[in-house]
Amino acid sequence: MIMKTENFISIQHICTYYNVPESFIITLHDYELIEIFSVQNAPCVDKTQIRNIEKMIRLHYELDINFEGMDVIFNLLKKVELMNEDIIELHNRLRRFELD
Amino acid sequence: MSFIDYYKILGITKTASEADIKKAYRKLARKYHPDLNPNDKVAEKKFKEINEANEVLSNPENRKKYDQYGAHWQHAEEYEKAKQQEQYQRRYQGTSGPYAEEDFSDFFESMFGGRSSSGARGRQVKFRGQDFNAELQLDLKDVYTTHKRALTVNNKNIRITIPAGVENGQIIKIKGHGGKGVNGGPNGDLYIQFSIINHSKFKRDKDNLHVTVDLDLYKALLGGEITIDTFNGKVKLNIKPETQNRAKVKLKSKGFPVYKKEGVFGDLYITYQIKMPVNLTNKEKELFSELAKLR
Repeated sequence: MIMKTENFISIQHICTYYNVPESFIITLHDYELIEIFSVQNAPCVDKTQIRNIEKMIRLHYELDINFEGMDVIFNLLKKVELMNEDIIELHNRLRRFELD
Repeated sequence: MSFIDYYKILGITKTASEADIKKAYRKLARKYHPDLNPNDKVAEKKFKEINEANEVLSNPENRKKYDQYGAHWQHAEEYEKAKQQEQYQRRYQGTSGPYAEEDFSDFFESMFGGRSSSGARGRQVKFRGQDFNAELQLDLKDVYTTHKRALTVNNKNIRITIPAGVENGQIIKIKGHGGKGVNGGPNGDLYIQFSIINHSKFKRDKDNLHVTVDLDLYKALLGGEITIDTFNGKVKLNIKPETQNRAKVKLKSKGFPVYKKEGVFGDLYITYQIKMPVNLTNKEKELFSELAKLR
């Protein structure tokens, strides 16, 4: 697989920008909440993960939620999201028969 | 504007310590935080109330003023006039009062309007602004093609591109057009949910369309050619002899556009509904009887 370097952002950059210690990002990785890649010998994360990382920073530093708690929250939010998608899809399918 | 009981919002008594306030705020923020309640308008409103309550009560100075005047905020003007009068008299006497006029109005502004930007003690928590949710109603015809639309959200005009093939109930995100960030936090996002009304005879199932077409008995039996409406025009169709009632045919790529895949379309499924002749003449009845005898 070819990795495009512009799709990644270094952990150091994230830590400076959000003012969080590097250990925070490493711990997120240890809990498998994010994936860390090595790009040109620097630990990086995929840009698509930034929104989730921002959310985790808020949950941890503003609401005092520990890493285990964040893991549970993210799993449950994912389930809620999937259920909402299912509800919308089922509603749309139902509409096909409502007017028959 | 009605009186807001900040103590009640945080579920604490008036004697609550700073630690109690912080604890109550954290507990409620964990329950109603927008990150934990996506697309929940009730939670959004509640979180705003909690934040406002915390902003006033976690600041000892604001809390003191709130405790002093909060329940009687309707009389603020009377208090203000009385204070102005008092200050005028004191100034005239060469003394200064405990409250400056600006402090008084700032107090009420911080309680019931804007947020205090200076002089706040304690930790100022930065929060991302709330995500706004809006619903946009469109006709099925509208989403057959990609088009632009101007919207007014919170008095701001924004222009969005609506890609062809968007689904009913689908949500798109417009970054930074949500609520303003709290204490310097980033703005929230705007989520637009599409509500697609279908006035056409076509039923949509994702990218595929379904339609029922009437077919007369003779064409169904003997075959022939008919012209039918598709979503974007008419097409001629060959009918096979001995076509059965409720038989289905698929017209490839005559369905709905596939979302964000330009030039790619779903299929159109046609269900034939055979119409039986009515008001038969004697001759027709005679011929049908003869046909029946042959079977």
